[in-house]
Amino acid sequence: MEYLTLVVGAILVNNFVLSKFLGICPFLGVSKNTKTAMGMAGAVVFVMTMASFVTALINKFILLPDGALVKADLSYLQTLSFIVVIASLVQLVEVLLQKFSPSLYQSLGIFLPLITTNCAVLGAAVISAQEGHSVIKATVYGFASALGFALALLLFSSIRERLDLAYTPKSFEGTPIAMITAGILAMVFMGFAGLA
Amino acid sequence: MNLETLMTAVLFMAGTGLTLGLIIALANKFFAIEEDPRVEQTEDLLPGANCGGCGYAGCTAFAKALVAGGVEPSKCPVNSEEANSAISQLLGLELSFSEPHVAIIKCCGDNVESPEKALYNGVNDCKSAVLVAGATKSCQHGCLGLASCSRACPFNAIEINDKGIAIVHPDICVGCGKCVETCPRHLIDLVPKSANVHILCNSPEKAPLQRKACTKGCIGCRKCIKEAGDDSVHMQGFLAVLDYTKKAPMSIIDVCPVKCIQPTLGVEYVPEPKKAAPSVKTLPCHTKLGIEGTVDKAVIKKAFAQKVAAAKAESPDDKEAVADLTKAFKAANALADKFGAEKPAPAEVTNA
Repeated sequence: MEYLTLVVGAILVNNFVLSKFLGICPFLGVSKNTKTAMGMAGAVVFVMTMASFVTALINKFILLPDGALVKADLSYLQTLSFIVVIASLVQLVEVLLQKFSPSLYQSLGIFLPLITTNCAVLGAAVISAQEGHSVIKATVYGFASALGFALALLLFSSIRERLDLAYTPKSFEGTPIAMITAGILAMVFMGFAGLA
Repeated sequence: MNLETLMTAVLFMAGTGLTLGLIIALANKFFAIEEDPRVEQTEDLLPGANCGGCGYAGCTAFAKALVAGGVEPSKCPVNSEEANSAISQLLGLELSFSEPHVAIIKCCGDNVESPEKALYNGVNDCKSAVLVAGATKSCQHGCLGLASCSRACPFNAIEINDKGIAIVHPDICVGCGKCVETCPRHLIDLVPKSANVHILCNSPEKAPLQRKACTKGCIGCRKCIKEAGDDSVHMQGFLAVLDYTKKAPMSIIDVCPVKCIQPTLGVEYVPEPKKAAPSVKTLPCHTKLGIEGTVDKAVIKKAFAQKVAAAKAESPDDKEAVADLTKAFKAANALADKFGAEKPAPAEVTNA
C-alpha cells in the first residue's frame, strides 16, 4: 500500500513536469511529434530508474553519516556528487548499450546525451535523499516519476501534433500556443490532488 | 566551515571524479566498436540534411550503404557533382551522373480561378480536407493549398501563395521527392531541372465541365501540340501532357488560350516578336550565282565576286561568261532592292 501511494503520487499527483516543473526542457523540446517523444520517454525511464538506484546507494553508503564506507557526514555534497555520478553513469551506459544492444542504442541512443544532466533525473535523486527513502523505495520512486514524465510528454506531444493542423492565430503559432497548452495540461493534472 | 571540511569536500569530489573518469575511459577502451573510418568520411561529404531522397533513413544510413557497395553516390539528389566525385574517389567507385530533378505542382488554378464552393473549417491538411466530400475547391483535381506538401518539405522549398496554391521554388528544391507522396490529388511530379516550360493542369475533364470548375484548366484544344510539332506534348484524354524526356519549345506558352502552360518559376519568357521575314524565291539569277533566294546584298556581292574569279581563272578571255554573271548580279540586286528591307544607308552611299 505504501508503494502504491508512492507510485500513484509520483505519476499523477506530484507529476514531475506538470506540478513540480522539472524537466521542462525536453518537455518542450522533443514534443513536436509522438515518435521522438516516445524515444525520449523511454530514455528518461531508463536513465531515471538507474540513476535513482545508483545515487541512493551512494547516498546510503558514502554520504550519510552512518554509511558503511565513510563515517563522516558528507550529505552537503549530495547535489554535487549526484550530478557527476549521473553524468558518468549515462556515459557508461551509452558505451555499454552501443556494444551489447545496438538495437536499443538505435532507439534511445540520440536521447541519452540529452538527459545526462536533466533536472528531472537529478531532481528524483535529490528528492529521494531528502525524503530519506530506502534504496528500493528510491528506485521505485525514480521509476514512477519517470513514468509520470513519460505520460506528460506523450499527452503533450499528441496534443501538439493536433495543434499543428489546427487554425491558430498567426501570433500564437508554434511555441506560444504550446506554452498555453502546457499550462492548461498542468491545471488538468491539479485535479488529481487528493488522490494519494 | 573549517579547513578540514573544505579539504574533505575537495578531496572527495576529486576522488569521485578521478574514479568515474577512469571507469569511463576503461569502458571506452574495452567496449569500443570499430567502425569503418570510410563511413564517417563519406558522411562528411554528404549534405547531412537527412531528407531521405536517396531512399535510406538518413545520411548516415546512406553512407553505410555506399561503403557496403552496390549503391551509387548519385542517388543522393542533393549532393553536388564535386562531392559525389570525391565520394567515388574515396570508395573507388565508377563515377556516374544523374540529371537533377525538381518537383513541380501541376495546378495553377488559384482561389480566384477556381473558387471554393463551400466553407471548409476542419483540420488544416489536404488529406483531411479530401476526406470531407472531396474537399471544397470547385475543381476536383486542383491544388487545395492546405500545405501538406509544404510541411513535408525538409528544405522549405514549397510556398503557399496568397491565392491559396502551392508553388515549388526550383532554386531551393533538390528533388528529394518527399512531397510527391503527400498530395492526395497526385499533383506533384519530379521533372528534370532543365525543363523550362510546364503544363500546370491535371484535370482530365472535358472542356465544358472544366470551364465551370476553373478558368485556367486545360480544355484540350490541342493548340500546344500543333505548336510543338513533335511528340513532346501529347493528349491524355482531354488533358495535354508534357513528355519531359523531349524538350518542348517555349512558344507553346503563347498559344495556350487558358494560360495554363507556364514557364518555370523565375524563368522569364519573352515571346519572339513575329517579323515577316523577307523572302524571295530562288530565281534563275540566284541559281547562276550559286545561292539561295536572298535579299542580303552582301551575300549576293560575295557570291558574284567568287563566280567572276572562278570564271576568269577558267578562261580569262571569256567576256561572255562575266557579262552573264554581271547580268544575274544586277537582277538579284534589283530583287533585293524591291523586296528587301535593308536598303543601304545614305551615309554609306555618300562615302562610296
